[in-house]
Parts: sequence; C-alpha cells; structure tokens
Amino acid sequence: MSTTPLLQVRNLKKHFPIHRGILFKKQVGAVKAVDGLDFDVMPGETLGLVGESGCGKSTTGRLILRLIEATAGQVTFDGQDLLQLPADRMREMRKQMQIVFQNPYASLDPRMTIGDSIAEPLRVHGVGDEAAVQKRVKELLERVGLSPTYSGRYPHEFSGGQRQRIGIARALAIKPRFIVADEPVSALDVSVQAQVLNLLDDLQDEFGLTYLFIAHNLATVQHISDRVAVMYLGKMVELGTSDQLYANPKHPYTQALLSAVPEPDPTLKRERVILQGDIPSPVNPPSGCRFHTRCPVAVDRCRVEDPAFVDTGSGHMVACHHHPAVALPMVGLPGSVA
Amino acid sequence: MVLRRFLKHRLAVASTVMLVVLVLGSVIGPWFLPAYDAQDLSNTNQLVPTLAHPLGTDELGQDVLARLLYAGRISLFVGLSAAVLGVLIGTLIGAITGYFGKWIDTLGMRMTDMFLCIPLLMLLLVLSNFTRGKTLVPFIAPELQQLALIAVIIGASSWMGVARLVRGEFLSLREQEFIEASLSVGGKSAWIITRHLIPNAMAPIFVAATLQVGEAIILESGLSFLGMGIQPPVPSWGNMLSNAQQYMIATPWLAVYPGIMIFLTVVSINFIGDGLRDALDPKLKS
Repeated sequence: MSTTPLLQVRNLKKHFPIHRGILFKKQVGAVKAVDGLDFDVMPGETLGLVGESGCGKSTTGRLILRLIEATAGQVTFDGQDLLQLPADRMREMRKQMQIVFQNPYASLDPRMTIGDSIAEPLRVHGVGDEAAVQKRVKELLERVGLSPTYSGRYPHEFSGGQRQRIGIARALAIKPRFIVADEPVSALDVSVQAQVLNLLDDLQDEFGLTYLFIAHNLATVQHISDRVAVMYLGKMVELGTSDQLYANPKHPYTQALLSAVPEPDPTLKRERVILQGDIPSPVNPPSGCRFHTRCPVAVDRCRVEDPAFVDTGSGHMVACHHHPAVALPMVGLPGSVA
Repeated sequence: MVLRRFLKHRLAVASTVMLVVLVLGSVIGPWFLPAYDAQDLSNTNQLVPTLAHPLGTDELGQDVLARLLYAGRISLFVGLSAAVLGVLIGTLIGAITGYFGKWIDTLGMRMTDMFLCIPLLMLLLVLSNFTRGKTLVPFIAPELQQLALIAVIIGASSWMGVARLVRGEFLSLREQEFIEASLSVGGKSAWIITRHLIPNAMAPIFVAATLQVGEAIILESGLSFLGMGIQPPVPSWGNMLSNAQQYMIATPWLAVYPGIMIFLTVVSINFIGDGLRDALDPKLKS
C-alpha cells in the first residue's frame, strides 16, 4: 500500500436548500446532509463508511462522483480537484471511478438488455469497436459468475443477486481504479450477501481496485474493510483500521453501534449501550457536539464546543471531547445495560 | 417476443386486419373500379345502390364506392401524418422540459398551457381559411399542398397532450437509479434521453400516438365537414359527410358510409394502440 492517497476529501459539504413559496421562492433553511468531511482513501484499500439512515453516507458517495454537486470542499482524485473540473474533463475522469448501487432492481434500465447495460460505459466513451465491446461484455459476465449467453436478456429475468453482479460488471467494464459501493448488499438476501461480498473482494485483488464501501451493517463492513469511518449527522465521528475500531471503539456513538451488532452465541453476555431518542434533524443540528443529545457521557462542554476530529494515535481519528484526554471504559457508562 | 404478446391480444389483431383492409382498399382498391373522374358529371341522378354502383351514386352522380376509397387515401394520409407530426413535436418539447427542468420546464409548460387555451377548432378554421388556395411551395400539385397543409395545421396544434405526457414520464424516470448509473459512467444528456428515457417512455407515447391518429382523422373530418378542410372535388370522409347531410331524408345511406369508415378506422387504431402497449411492456408477462 503506497503512502499517497488516491482520494483526498477536504471539508466536503452538501446543504440541500429548503424553499418556501410558489411564486417568489425563498430559501428558509437547508438540510445539512454532509457538513464538513475530511478523509483519505489509500490506493488498494477498502474504506468502510457506516452510519444510520440519513447520516449522509450515500450523499458522500455521490458527492465524490459528482452525481450531486457539492456546496463546498475539495475532492482530490489522483492529484486533481474533481469539483473544479469542467464537464468534459470530468467525463474523462469517470472512466476511473464507478459506482455500484444499492438497489439492483432500480439501477438497471428495464428496457435495455443486460449486455447493453454492461456495454454502456464502453459505448459512452467510445472504447473499442462493436466486436471488442461484445467480447468484453462476455468476459465481464463470466468474471462475475454469469453465463455469457445471458447478454441478450432483460433485467427482469434475473434475481436480485444476479442483478447486483450485472451492476458490478457494468462498473468494472471500463477498468476503473476506484469504486464507490453504495450499500451493494443491503437489498439482497443474507444468503446472497456473502457471495457478492466475496466477489467484490476477489475483484479487488484481481484488478487492484480501491473501494469506498458504504453500509449500515457493521458486520458487513468489518468483513470487507481495511479501515472504517463512522458518520453521524453529516460528520465523521471516528475513523480507524478495522482492528482499532472494532477492538477499541473510542467514540460513544461507535460503542453504541458496535454493541448493537447481533451476537450469534446466546450464552455470551455482554454490555449493551442503548441510545435514547432519535437522530436529530439535519436541518437544525444540535449545537456543539452533534451527538450530545443522545450521548450517555455528555458534559457541558459538549453542548457548546464542537469537538475536533483528531488523531488519538496511529491514525485512529476521533471527534470527541473525551479523547484523547480521557479514555472512558465502556463498562459502567450511564445508560448502559449490564 | 413482442410480436407473440401482441398476437395474444385478439381485439388488436382483429383491428390490425381491419385497418390493413381499410388501407389496402383505399390505396389499391380504386384500381379495380371503373375509371373515376371527379369532374365527370354525366350521371346526374342520385341512385340507390345497383350492380354498377354497389354503394349508389351521390347528388352529382359520382360513384360513392370510388369516392369513399379515394377519400380513405386522403383521410388516412392526413390523419397519420398529422399524428406523427404532433407526436414528434410533443415528444421533443416534453423531453426537453422534463429532462432539463428548472426555467426551461417552466417556459415550455407555460407555452403548452397557452396553446391549450386556444380553442382548437377556431384556430384551425382561421388558419385554413388564411392559407386556402395559396401556393406555398412551388412545383407541387395544389391538391397535395392542401393535404400537407391541413396535416401540418392539425399536427402543429395537437402536440400539447403528448408533451405533457412525455414530460411527466421523464420527470419520474429521471429520478430512477439507472439514470444516475448512466450519468456516473459519463453519459451525456442526448445519450440519456435517447437511450434510456425515450425507450422507457415508449409505451405511453405509443398509446398517445395511436389515439392521436384517431383524433387527427376526426379533426380532419370535422374541418372538412365545416368546409374548411379538404375541398371538393377532392373527396374526404369529412366532406362526404358534409355533402350527405343535405340529402339525409332522401338518401340517408350517403351519410352512413363515410361515418362507418371513420368509426372503423378510429376504433381499429385505438385497439391496436392498446395491444401495442401491452406487448411492448416487458414487465407484463402473460
């Protein structure tokens, strides 16, 4: 693994405006879906991005690929700031970065044969003649474990898992270096999830891919990620290697999330951190630390001062006033159930 | 596959046969009849149907069967080309407004609303009155120009429904993930519109197009009935109806023939549209 990041995200923000009025529209507020993100993705690694629904993780993936225009910030890919690129240069860059979508039922055009769908990136960029395109489609279908003879069929003839393989084949068609996997297995049966995850894993080794793997399931993310980032309400609260994060979660939110992962062994007793209340509205995020309204260890300082996202040692980043100053043990936290 | 599903739709198949008969009858039928000349007024009696004139003759002594078939050529041509034109304009405007949104959408839709506010028949009457008998394009037979003109007038004033329909389809399709997928691989607007949006909006466009053909035929008939469409001696189903109304008591069948022709054509076309919609939708498996 090299030391120069493939992707650098700095102060990335997306505020969706809220308009009122029909004739004279005025902005009355904004949904702060993503509110200041900083992280790097190293070449060849898988960065997992987790958080509950509405925390802005999918928006982050789309902002990086410029499927949504960012409000502020920089996304540097291979030395170029993507957010500043003119449309034609951006189109060229898309050859290097692709996305696998969450919903395999909506992400394939129902009127297009899957062969045409997979060939779309090649045709859009005018790569190769028709014979070469057909050959590549057959190759890709085979690689993702589907018969090349399926290329003339339509998406409705396939199961969810098969469609997700087709979506992966399409993302691979143009030989990208970086893939945003936006909850690629959340919509699939548990029995199929592992197959697709293993496929993604194998493809990474084979083609030297870099993944940004978005998910809400910590077990899934642990399985595939080298490093994991946890988001809460548009901000990152913790980022570390899988080992660091799973063995020694530092942010109370991460601790709560990890304690909610189902344990297959019923005889094993363990601590549960139960969070009170719902995720606050991203229109009006809480002052200070955004997590203080639900945090079991919140103090006065958390209500007024937004904690910085700092390195607590060997790249384990945390945004919490209790770190690195105080390392609270998980046991005995107020609100935890013994 | 599509064909097989279409063939299962019995009414649509029957309608296709009916329409083929009507079209073939109109296009090649006149060749098998005794020579017909619109200027020939030697027979001056209105005749009841006889062997020589199976459907009788009209007030000028012209063979009604021959006129009916010639009129079919005219009415079908005008109806079809007007509908094609209207659907093309409507799809174009609907596609642009629905895809790009924002001020383009507002502009396009207000324009559509404006056109919808104009009483269609009045506009058609005024337009055809203005352009009647004028030579707009040299070297083309005036009769043909008259037909093309009426087709253009009807087409250019009946695209609004299709535009709204296509816009609505595009608005909902645009938010689908596969459009985002196409954007993410670098698809340009034109690519996305032609490869993804239009094929997905095809079923409702087809249905609208077939309905439009029927409507255009009826509009042309109405226009001709009012004396502002196809001018005698060139026959059309509309002006034949118009002529027949003077003799409703003496020879009511004169009105029935063109009426039946219009009815059969429009009904067949609508059923075919139905069948096509079902056959073209791959999600509807039977």
